[in-house]
Amino acid sequence: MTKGETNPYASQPPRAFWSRAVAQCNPLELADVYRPRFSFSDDTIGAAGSCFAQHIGRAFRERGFDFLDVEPAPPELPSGKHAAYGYGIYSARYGNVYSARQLLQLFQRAHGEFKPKDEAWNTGGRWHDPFRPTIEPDGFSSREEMLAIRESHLAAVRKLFASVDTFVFTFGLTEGWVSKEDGAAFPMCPGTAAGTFDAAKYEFRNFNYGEILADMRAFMERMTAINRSIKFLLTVSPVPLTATATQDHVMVATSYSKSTLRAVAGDLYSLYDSVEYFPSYELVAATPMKAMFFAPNMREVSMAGVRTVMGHFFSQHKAPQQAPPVADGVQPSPHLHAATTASAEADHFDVCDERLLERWGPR
Amino acid sequence: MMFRTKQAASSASSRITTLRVMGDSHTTALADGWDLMPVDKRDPSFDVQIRGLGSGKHFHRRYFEPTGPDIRWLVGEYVDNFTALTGRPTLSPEDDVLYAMCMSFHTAFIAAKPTWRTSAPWRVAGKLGLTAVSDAVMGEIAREYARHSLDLFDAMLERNIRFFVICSPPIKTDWRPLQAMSPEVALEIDRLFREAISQHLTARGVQFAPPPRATVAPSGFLKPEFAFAEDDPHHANGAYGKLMMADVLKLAAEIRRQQVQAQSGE
Repeated sequence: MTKGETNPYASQPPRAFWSRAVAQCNPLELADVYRPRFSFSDDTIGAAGSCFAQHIGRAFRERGFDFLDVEPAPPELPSGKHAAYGYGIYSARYGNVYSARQLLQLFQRAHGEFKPKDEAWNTGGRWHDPFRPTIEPDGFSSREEMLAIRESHLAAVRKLFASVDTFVFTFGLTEGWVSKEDGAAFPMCPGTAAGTFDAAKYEFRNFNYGEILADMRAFMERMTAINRSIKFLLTVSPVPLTATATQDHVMVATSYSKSTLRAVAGDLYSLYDSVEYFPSYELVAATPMKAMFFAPNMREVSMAGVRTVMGHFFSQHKAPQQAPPVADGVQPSPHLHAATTASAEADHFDVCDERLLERWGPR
Repeated sequence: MMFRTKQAASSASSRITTLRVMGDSHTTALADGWDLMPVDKRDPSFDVQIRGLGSGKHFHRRYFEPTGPDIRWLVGEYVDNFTALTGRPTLSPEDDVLYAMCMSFHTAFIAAKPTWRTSAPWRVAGKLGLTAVSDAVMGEIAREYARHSLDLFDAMLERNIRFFVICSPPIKTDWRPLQAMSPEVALEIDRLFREAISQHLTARGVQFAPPPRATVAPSGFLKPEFAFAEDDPHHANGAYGKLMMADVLKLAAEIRRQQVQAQSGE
């Protein structure tokens, strides 16, 4: 092409150009970052995922969306105790679901497709569910109690999967620990939150792009089989790894993990019309954001960051009881909801098992 | 907060001579039972004084306030009844007095909640198709429900006010909430509630008198002959109170024996 001729970039909008969409903007005034593929306003919404996912679920609830909780806390349980028992964090009491393999196996376990050999872990006389080891802060008093509560939980998961219109999944980690015997994927390395580590029984896996994509496709196919019109909203947690089990520096390991997950989410969005991608990762971790939404440890995301992320999302999705959003192309300023420091940590509620890894490092 | 592990380990050296029984509406059955108890069956070494504080409905909010060495009641009827019982408006340490507190074990309000139409303790939830609730969560609910009374007990311990606790009667078979819930669920809630409160008290060295065995049917319900009246929601009668007061006297005597033993070892 010669000068004067048109080219594909000539018709691109300002948001396609870094100079105009980013470089010339206050990062708190970035606009048009997210354009939804479909509306969630009238949907029944369910959510699972890594630590960051709980903010998404809470934001849906606060905005008046029909956010499903199939295992609500008994109202008589003091609200200050709900999170400790895994109530009210996600749509069911499955705790943190960090990996696609865990998510797939959650479906399989709930529907009788997979019965892991690791049925229960006994730690110091208390019983723990290997697949949500911190769901009961002091463990269960007996194996029978743990199994009964899990059976009830998996029944609730079946109900959730069959009834949601939109399922939100926040990718958290590529790294995980699995049983050598049957491949059961655990949210936490045995011997950390509960259980006993045995190198003969458990192994580390850093799931690659192909494995994660295959797991997600298998999960989505199963979900669609029982819930034909279901939609998926995918996000990637911007929260870095607490620790890596690879030989890499944790920052390098985080980069691998997040970029792999981001690539999977992007490709699922391209492959399936029923998939939405929301750029929560970019809105916190991308370089223009200058790490302003990270706490001083450069890992945890401040409530200001959460509010900014969700501000972008809800500028495009009106809550059921709210007025319609502003006209196309005019973005409300998400920064109106944002504080510029991490000082809002006081109201930071974050149940994150992975953080337990911190205690195992050298002092 | 530090608690004494044994009530009898009080620094006071006087012998207990007065037993004051007070508490919620279940105290009435104890008073009736005391009246039914033949004089020759009573322990003459105790001056037994019985009077209800008032309705248990006030237990769901802060109904007392520690003020220095004393405990002040914040509910008018409690002030009135306590004054009538003791001659003064505040609860204070008295070396020769042992309190028997009939409160904190009553499960009716919690078991009547609509929660148990969809959820139940795990041992009974599965077969009824209800959402299973763990023992630990049930314990949290029980302690929250009885929170103010448990706080009162802590305040009494801190002030060396001698006391033990009297459990409320078992659930009645014609108890109204049972019309909307499985009896198994009600009994299991009641059992776990009592277990949680018992453990809480035991951890603090507080002793308690459970319902007399003879009043409990094999099913776990209160035997009909010990129920107050058919149209009463959950109270026991004087016959129940008579048996319970016999147990209360035994426990009071045991606590006094422990006290004497502790003092002689000082």
